[in-house]
Amino acid sequence: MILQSFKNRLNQYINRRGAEQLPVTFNWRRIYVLPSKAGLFFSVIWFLMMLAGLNFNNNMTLMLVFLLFGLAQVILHKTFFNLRNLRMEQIHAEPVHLGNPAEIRIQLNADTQKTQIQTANDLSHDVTDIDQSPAQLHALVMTTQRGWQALDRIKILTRYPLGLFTVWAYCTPAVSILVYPKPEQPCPPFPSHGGMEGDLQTPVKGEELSGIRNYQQGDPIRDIAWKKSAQSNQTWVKQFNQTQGKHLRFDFNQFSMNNVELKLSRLTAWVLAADQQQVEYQLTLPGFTSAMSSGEQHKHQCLQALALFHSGGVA
Amino acid sequence: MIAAVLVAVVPHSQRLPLWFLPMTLAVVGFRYISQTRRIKQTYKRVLVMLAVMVLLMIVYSQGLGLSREISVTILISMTVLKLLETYRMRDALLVVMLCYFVTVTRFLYSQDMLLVFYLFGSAYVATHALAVLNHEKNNRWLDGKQLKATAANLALAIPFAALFFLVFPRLGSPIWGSPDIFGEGKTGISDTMSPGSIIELFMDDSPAFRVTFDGGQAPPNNQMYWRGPVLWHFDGTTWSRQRHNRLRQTIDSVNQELAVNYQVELESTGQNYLFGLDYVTAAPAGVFLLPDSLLYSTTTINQLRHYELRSVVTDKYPENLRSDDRELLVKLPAGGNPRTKQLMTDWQSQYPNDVQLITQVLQWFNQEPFYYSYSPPPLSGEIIDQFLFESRRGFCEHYASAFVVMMRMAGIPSRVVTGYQGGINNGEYWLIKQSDAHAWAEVYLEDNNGNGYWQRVDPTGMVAPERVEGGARELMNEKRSLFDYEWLISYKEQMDKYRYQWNQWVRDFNVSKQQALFNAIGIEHRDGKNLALMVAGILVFTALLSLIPLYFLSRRKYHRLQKLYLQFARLAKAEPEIYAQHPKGLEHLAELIKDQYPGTRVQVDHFTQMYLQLRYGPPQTRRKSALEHLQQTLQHIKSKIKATP
Repeated sequence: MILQSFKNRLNQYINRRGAEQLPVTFNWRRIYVLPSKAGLFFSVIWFLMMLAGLNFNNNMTLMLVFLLFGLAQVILHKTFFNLRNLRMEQIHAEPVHLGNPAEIRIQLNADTQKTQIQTANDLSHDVTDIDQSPAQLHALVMTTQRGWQALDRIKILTRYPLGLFTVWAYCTPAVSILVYPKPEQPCPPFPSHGGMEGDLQTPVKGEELSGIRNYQQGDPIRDIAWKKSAQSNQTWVKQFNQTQGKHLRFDFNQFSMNNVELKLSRLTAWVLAADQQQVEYQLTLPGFTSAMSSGEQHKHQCLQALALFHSGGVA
Repeated sequence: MIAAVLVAVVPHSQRLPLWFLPMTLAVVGFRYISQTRRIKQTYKRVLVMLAVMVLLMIVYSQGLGLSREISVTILISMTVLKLLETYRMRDALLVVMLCYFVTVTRFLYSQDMLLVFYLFGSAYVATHALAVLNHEKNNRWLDGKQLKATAANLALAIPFAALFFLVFPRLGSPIWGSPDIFGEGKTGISDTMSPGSIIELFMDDSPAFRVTFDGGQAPPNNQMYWRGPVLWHFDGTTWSRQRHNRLRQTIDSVNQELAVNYQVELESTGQNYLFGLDYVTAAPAGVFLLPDSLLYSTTTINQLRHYELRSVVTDKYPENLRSDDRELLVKLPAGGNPRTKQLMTDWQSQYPNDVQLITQVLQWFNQEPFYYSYSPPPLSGEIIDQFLFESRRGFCEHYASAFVVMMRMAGIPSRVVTGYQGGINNGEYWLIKQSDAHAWAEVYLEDNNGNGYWQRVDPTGMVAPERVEGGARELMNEKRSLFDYEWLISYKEQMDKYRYQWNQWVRDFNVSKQQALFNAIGIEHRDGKNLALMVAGILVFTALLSLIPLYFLSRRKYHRLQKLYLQFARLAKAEPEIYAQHPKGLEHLAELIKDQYPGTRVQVDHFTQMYLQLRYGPPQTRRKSALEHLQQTLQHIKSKIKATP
């Protein structure tokens, strides 16, 4: 309990700057230094050697021991100065689907040469050197919610040159990643009925019944093949096929699912599948209707609308 | 990393069993190949078997038990074997750290000056290995830049090391164990003497001990008899010591002219004998002075040992011999060496006086064709007879041994004394080498008043007076070994001077010397609080010290042009009100200066124009001359500003 509250306080202290506008320069006020695991092991060996040297007044041993101590001091400073005045200039993050880790590219720069700057979290680990030109570090960030997800604290660290000390700095940049909804997998077949909303009687021109398939959750009730279903234990749905051109309409309101997120997820899957098959499609959400179009930009427009639907899933 | 192991281990090879070096090389070779060819990992079972095998071999070659040799050997072999299963970062780090430790174990055996190269070499290679391991993008192990960086890091560490070495609190006495368990080996004179036992020492130019005489007043070379084990018993071939259960009296009344005070720095011998000039007045602390004037330490001398002595330099020592001792001192194995016995019986009837008899024997040595030789023919059986009547070639131990046997045959109590004779004046100290080992004789005589005394007799001096006058080397006509050159010997003597300093300042630095150092800089007492304060102070001081160069290194470096600009800007900032206006841009600065000092108008304009051209113009205009011209202009402005009241 005490430990937990201490942890919370510590985190509060570390995050005291809140989200910051880039660029951020890591000055000494925000650099943390602790011995690394290798450093701890080194210190144990060192301590043993020192005890032996002192106990037997073995001056050569003590010379080595003190030499190593001096070395550790020098390394401590070198490691610190290796991180000091490093600038985090910008962070670029590609939109990603919920559930996939987002790849962010952190651009670092400094006036002096920096070596072996790393970033590490549970998912990824990357190293780079900075020598006169900006360098980039790649990191993966777990996505937890649809919409604009603010970036978590980023840890930039270095152990250069000997790995005895870990010198690191935290930064919570005011950068958000656009997280698209998670596409439903496997991709469900396209909507059984491409008709317009409310147009129950007449199917869209050019569509005709092509077969029946098993019911899947969310299929409009009007498409259910009642007769066929009554004869068997399963529920069958009439499948319409487009014969003339490729036009798909994905309408949020057209299928009956209670869970908004699942709906969005399916729509996302359809958008992706349609984009892959290079057919024109139109997405209709409450308050948003895209053009009947295709292409990368169109896809991103649709996906962004899906991502930000109902203010990004934040209730 | 592999190189680090090799560097750390190889200097041990001398002490390790014979099979060790090939094994190390094999392991290292295999590891190197598997590294470069990327062979798959070795099987775990093979490794375990290998480890068990090595352990068995260690036990086989060094016996069972928890000795220093065993532990060090196990540590080293496991370090080497660890290489075989080192494929992950963690293991690699472990091996490198162990390398540091292996380096330390080497110093348990010896702290010779030359090992300092080993120290730095090993530390350097291991540190470099650590650096390479930690550099993820660069796996070339001979990266020039990295090599340099490591060297720089170590060089920066040296001042710390030196400071800490001098001021870090030392222990007066060990917390556990004794430094003696880590002995540095066994050399020097032993307490038995059989034909040829000293000959090994003659081959050895390593230092036995060093002596500093108070006031630099050394006795003449032929008076320097450094007494070692005194041998009483003779079994026909071998001389050995008498065990005593009492101590000799100290000499209290001293003839001041003959007395010398001196400090001895004795190299480790693995034995208990201390050496002193004949005859020492009293024993130092922790040392027994045995009845035959031998100094016997209570602890084995496994480290450099310092002691102070006072001696009366004479060849006579008065003593009233006890009757049981007298019996021991004339004892000989029954019925040996008939020819010598016959000779002595003849002479005894000829010269009833003991002194005359001794003189006769010595003259006989002198006049008969006896030779001093380092390669005498081997003796067996009646060795004294053989030596005196057949071979007649030998060195000190032959002559001393034969002489004492002859004396005992004549019923004169006598004994063999081993030790060192002479020495080399090596500047501020005298160096006594192992090759100065010597053996001489002592006979017990009585003067006219019936007072007994021991008289030193050196029969070797009768055969080869140069030995006693100028040291063993004077006699060498033949080479002792393949590498016996004059320049090599003098080089070794020169090296010993450095070694002496090394011993004084490094190897033998201890609490008392540290205390002396503290006293010299004015820190008198060392209680707990002071000590803690001092350590804290040192830490803070060194931390600050190390910050200074790094601060300068990390300071922003300005181009010369930028510096000039800054100077220019400072001219405008002279008045606080103007400074508060946050002047921005060159033009604005120029305006400010011009407003303030109208006299500088022309120069300021010139400066501005030139600066802009240099800063933003094509690169070819950026010449050194142009920069200098700019600076001159700036100087001009400055001087004008100074001129204005």
